[in-house]
Amino acid sequence: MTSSRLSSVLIPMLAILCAFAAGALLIALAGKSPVVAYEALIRSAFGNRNNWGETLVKTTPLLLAGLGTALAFRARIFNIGAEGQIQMGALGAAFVGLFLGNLPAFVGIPLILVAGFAMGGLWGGIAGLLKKQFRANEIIVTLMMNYVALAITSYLVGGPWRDPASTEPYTARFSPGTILPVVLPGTRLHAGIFVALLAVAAAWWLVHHTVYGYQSTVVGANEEAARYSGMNTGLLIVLTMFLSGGLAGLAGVVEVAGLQHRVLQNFSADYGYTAIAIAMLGRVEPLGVAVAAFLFAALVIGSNGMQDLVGVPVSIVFILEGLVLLLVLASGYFRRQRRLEREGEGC
Amino acid sequence: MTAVLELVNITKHFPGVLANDHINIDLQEGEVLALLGENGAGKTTLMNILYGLLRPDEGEIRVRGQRCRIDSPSDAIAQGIGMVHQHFMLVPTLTAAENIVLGQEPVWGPFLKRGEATQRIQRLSEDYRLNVNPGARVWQLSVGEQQRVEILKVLYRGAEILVLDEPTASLTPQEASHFFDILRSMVQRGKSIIFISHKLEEVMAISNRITVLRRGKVIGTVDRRDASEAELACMMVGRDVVLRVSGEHRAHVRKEAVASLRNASVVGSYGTYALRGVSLDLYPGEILGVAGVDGNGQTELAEVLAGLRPLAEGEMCVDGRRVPAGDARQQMELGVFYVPAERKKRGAVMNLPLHVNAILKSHHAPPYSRKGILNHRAIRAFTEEQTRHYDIRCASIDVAAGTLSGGNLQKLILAREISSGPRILVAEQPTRGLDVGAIEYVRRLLLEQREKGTAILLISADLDEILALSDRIIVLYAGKVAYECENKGVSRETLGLAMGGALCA
Repeated sequence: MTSSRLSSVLIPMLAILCAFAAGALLIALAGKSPVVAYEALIRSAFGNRNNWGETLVKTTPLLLAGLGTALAFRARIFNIGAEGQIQMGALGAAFVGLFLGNLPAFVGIPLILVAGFAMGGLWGGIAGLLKKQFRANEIIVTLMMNYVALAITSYLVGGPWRDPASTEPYTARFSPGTILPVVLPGTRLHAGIFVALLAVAAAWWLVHHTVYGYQSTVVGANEEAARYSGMNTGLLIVLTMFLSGGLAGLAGVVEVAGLQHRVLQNFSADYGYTAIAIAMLGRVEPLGVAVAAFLFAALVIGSNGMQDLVGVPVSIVFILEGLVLLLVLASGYFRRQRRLEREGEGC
Repeated sequence: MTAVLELVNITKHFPGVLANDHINIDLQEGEVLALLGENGAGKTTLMNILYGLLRPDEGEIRVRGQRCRIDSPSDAIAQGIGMVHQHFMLVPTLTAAENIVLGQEPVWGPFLKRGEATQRIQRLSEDYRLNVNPGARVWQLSVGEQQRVEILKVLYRGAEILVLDEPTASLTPQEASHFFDILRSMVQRGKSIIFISHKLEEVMAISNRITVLRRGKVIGTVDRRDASEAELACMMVGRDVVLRVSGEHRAHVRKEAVASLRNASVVGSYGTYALRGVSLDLYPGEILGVAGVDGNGQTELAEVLAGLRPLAEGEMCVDGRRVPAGDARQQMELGVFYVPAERKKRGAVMNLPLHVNAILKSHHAPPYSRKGILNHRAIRAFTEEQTRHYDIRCASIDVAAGTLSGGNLQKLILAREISSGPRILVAEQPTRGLDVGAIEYVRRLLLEQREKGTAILLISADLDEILALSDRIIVLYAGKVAYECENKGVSRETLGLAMGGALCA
């Protein structure tokens, strides 16, 4: 157990190191010094209070959407619709922020969270229901629903919900009681980070200490055994997709209510797709997802700095991100192979 | 006549089992040789050796007198040996022709010469009266047609020796009789055929000679003209003395049946009827043994009782009340527990720890959870207790179930089902693949459970086990109860005949 736990940390670490080594090669090929570039990366991510703030601001939506995706993946439901669920969550928050008048913060903030969770959950739940009822493939359904959600957002922010004071496609500012306050003065870091951390704790508890978590783990590992044990796998699918979508919805809420204070047309920088990578990097464990989201956010913020300060081409930054993901996923494959070989000997 | 194929002294060990023990078989040109035997007799191992999927520890294979090495299916094909497996290996979305040429496509550069392939297949199909439409998509074909596609595939590759593994298992009687016509036309054209079966009637109908295997050994080879079904049944199941784990089976004071099936018919995984009008009663404190060769409806019978498969017709009663079929949770609440033959796929979650597996059936109720929240302390204490009480050897309860040996895994599963306090216990092949010690232990647990008043349905392909443990016996054949008796003075021969379908109406 301890050796496998150790290797579950060491091997991904090694993979990340390899990715950076390969990245160094590319940076050198682009005619820049890898040492200078990586120093800029680290400084941009963690150099001062503001850098820390930006990294954590980026962590927040990635963490929430990653948690949601991980919950689905645990039950072996391939929800790749976090992007759409983020959009719906943001719209839920926007409805509260735009149309329910001036609410006090202690009402307004819980309300946007609930509305966002419900909207994201609904969006995910529809895919779950279709899977349960008609065996509709959730990969296709959630992917298509992403486009629908994006279209709904575009329509609303460009039409009925557009800021009357502007011709640009975004909504008016939310009412003050529905805006997440800044928690680290001098930075953009907002209270959404606490929402995300609470969600990690809640997801951890849900996964490891509840009957729901037990059943979803069993369904994900061996659906036949779950059926044999009398579990209601259909209900489990719908519930999992609701929770998964709800958490992604929260990512949408914190992004609009904490950062932009309104819904812009393209407010989500593909967080929903990055969430898939983060869920896998975190090995679908809530704590692992938290670490992965933080690392990924640091990589994104740091790479931006690397580009600004050292002039490393942006495409190399993308390649670096891709390499990290690829190698960590590949290392998961090697770990599995090794385990299979060990088990094979036992037979 | 000359021998086209000789298997000489083939021996194959698996850990703890001698699957093939110095087997000698010869196949003459233009004959059908039947290979008859129960499950586990070593037929499949032998054929896998012949087809290059396994390597023998000893012995050699001679094709037309020439010794040859067969290390892979492509070696076998090169020697003119073709195999049609029991479960077809076809791509459903491709056409029959595409499936047949798959792997040996006639090509022109990167292009498939579709016309040429189709013509050749058409010709073969007519020659052997196989009646296959090369352009039909496989998913549209019936099981019988799919089998003919498999046969064409083997012929297309130029096979002179065909091995057919339980070819009629999934055919309807009409399809089976058509299939025999095809076999005859192949033999007429000089092909030689090894026909693996456990059905006496078929073996008598089609083969020239019959070789019987039991427990990895050749018991004998007889000419069809000199053989009788009774003699073959004896050879197949043996006349050994039965070792009893228990003392006596019991003469019962019958109480009310705790569970019963009336005229139960179910559709199996292949879309055909797996059970056809089965009626049976389970009584408290009694073991009902279900004998039969695998695939005659045993698994489906277990699944119906465990609530994993709906009934197409008929009804199921528990405590005299009719209950809906196909609800696993309900059956558990009624006290029906199930030790499945598929231990790794169904009975346990192999990559999760023992403490997860120990509470699969009880996690939703106190003391393991309350109001949806797990009580890890109770779960761990229970698992520790189980491993001690049932002597489940493991490094700790945190290791994955997949790390346990076969015997310990089965103990874990059986312990779980027993600790739920079953009133009805369905045990499907409970000792298959276990070592001797574990077999005894599992049998003792089943008998203990009987003493506690549990009604037990013991499904086993091992006739010795059925005879050793059961109070009553039924034999399933082709989804029907072919024979039913008290376990008192019943002869193995009778059971063997019933298992081979010779006692069917």
